[in-house]
Amino acid sequence: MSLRKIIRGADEGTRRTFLTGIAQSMLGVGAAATFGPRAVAQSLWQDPQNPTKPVVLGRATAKHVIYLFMQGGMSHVDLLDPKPGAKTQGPNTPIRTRADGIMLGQYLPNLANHMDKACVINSLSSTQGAHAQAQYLMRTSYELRGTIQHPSTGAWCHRMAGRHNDTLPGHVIVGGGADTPGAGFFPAEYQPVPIGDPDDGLKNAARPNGVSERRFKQRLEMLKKLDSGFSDKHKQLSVGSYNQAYADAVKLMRSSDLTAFDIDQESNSIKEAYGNTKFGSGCLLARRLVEHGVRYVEVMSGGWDTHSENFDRLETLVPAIDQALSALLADLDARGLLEDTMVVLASEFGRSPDIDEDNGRNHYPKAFSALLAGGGVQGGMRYGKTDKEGREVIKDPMSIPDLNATIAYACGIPTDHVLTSPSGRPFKIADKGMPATEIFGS
Amino acid sequence: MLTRLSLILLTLLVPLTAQSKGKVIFERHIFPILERNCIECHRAEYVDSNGRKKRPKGKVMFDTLANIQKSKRGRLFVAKDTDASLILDSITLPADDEDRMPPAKSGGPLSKREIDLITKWIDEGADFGDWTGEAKKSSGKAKPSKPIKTTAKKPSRRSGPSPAVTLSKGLRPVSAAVLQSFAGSEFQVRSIGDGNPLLSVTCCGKTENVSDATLAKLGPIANNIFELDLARSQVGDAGCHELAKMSRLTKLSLRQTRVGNTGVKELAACQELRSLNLFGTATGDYALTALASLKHLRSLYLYETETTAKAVVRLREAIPGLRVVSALDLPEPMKEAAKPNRRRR
Repeated sequence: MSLRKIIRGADEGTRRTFLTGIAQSMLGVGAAATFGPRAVAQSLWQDPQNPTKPVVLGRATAKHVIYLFMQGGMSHVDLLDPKPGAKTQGPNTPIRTRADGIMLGQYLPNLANHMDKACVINSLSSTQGAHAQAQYLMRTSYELRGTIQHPSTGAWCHRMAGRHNDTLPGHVIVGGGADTPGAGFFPAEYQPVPIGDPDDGLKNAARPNGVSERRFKQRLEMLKKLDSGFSDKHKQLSVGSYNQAYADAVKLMRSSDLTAFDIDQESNSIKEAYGNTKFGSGCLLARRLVEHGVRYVEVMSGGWDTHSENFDRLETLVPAIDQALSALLADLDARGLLEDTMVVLASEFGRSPDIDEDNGRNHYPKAFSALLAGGGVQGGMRYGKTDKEGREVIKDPMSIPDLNATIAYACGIPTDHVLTSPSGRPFKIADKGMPATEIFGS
Repeated sequence: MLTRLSLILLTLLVPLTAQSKGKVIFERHIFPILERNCIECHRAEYVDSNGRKKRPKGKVMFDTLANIQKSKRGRLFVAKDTDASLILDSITLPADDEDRMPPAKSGGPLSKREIDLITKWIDEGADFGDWTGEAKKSSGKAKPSKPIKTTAKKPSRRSGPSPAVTLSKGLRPVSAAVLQSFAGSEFQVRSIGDGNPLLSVTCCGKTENVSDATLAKLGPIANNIFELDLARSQVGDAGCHELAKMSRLTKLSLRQTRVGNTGVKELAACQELRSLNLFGTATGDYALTALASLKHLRSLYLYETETTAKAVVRLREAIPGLRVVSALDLPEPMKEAAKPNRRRR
């Protein structure tokens, strides 16, 4: 770091960068215009494109979503859809779980203990077999196109169901996020706040050393004075919204809710139980965010593209997931939060039942699995079925839009409501997907 | 046979009992562990559904008292002698030992808690109580021919109309003017959905400003409140007086608030409560006694409270179908070797 950078870093620059960043990512243009009516929205969502006809939201069984995205293609036959006795099973002895009739791959001994809380979906299939395209479809329900960027399911939830806590962002993505569709064509305020490293929390959100609250206030006053000429001259919505965004970012800096981002507030025993891995920290952060009212949190885990030495790779990949997911389900349950929080474990596709000459499994979008728990989902159940080697879906097929529609349904968002992109084309939260209502309890 | 629900409840109760001073009871605490983990392979000879004769593995049986005493010359459980009790040897062997029970393919090792509980029971005298494991009325066929399922049946879906329907019947919606008065207040007030006049209220994000006095603001909509989330707010016992007026309240979260016995006791007036979250409050046994009249209660969260296992058992007996979560069932920490990409700091 050059001396100039250090000097600049100690000054207003960091504040300004932070404020601008947060303004763009969570409180951007248009924010002020939509906050007001939502507080008393009566679950009538006001569509900015059709303000005279409010949208009636459904009864939500999930107030929060924690979406655990295993990027690269998670092997369904080795984890959530084992086929004991099949020759395609390889060196993997499926284990029994706490739920009657549900087995898991041997790599998930801790999760087996919590299957009474979860529903396994064994009948997913995707139309995309390449990573980028398939991940995009998972996040948006639409196919990747060069002409438009679709909003992600999290952005739809944030926009239509709103924020529970208007000091905190509505949508957070942990462990990456730069290359995800994010808010798509929605206004910038629905962009997820990316947290690269869960152990670092939200960066640049505190006053710099040596700047007292009084000095900070003076600087804000100064900023206001400097800006006032401009905002008086240009009385536009966007100018007002940016000013509002600054105020909201300052509100977050001063709020006690900022501690939601700090997993060091947790005891060592809790951190150990989540596994003390990057993914474990991500899950622990997700629990803290949900507890403070964040609606949608995605936690990413990479490295699932096990083309060679599949079984050795799973030995090192899965323990962190097994540990963190089990801890997350137990922890949410003990706090009474699992009732309100839908936890999703998913991947862009499965892996081939056939084991190739490198002991690997290859991309397999035709049939694969996911897991849903909490937020009204019945535990100890299985939805859909594949044949005896996990090659074909033979019961209750579920497309990727169907999975997203199921999440939307849990959040009370009507899956038939159309929003129009700036280019004038109609889109829905889950395209033509239909929710699997059978998995919800009464 | 135990219902699946009560089985879950039992497993949740286990740690509480293990830590508390209460005596471990075989039928309530130990047998469910054996039933879940051991009996499938270790029971009297029977013929399975494929017509094959199944013998007890290793001639060890846990299905009846007589069979337990017959197995290993009665040395499976030796009262007050954990060294001589053979069961502890086989369940505490290293994970890679092939004699370790239960084997990985049958669900893997018991948790530390389960092992502690068995140890405690042996230390306390390995008393089987009234349990014999024999069918109550022996009608000729003493031994069941069907394999014992490891978990009981799934709970059937609760029938009948949902409370969102029954409680909204004839209910007048709150006027727009009253709703408008909550704009910018500490509370976010919404319909529970589908245009229902019942309301869902939260103070998330304004928790620092919500105290007992603030709750008075909910007075005008008290009749319509269906769900109320006051988690992490400053509400204490005095505020519960206000909550007791909410006759349609089905779900209440007082997680990590200042309420204690006096306040929680008042909640007995909220007869429609289905879910009550008291996690991290000073609630004690005294309050639980009062809650026994809440016949609709289905979920009660008591982790990190001052309640004891004994009071929880009594409450469960009073309210059939109640699920009490009073323990945190975390997995054991990972082995160092299994940790990929460790945290940086």
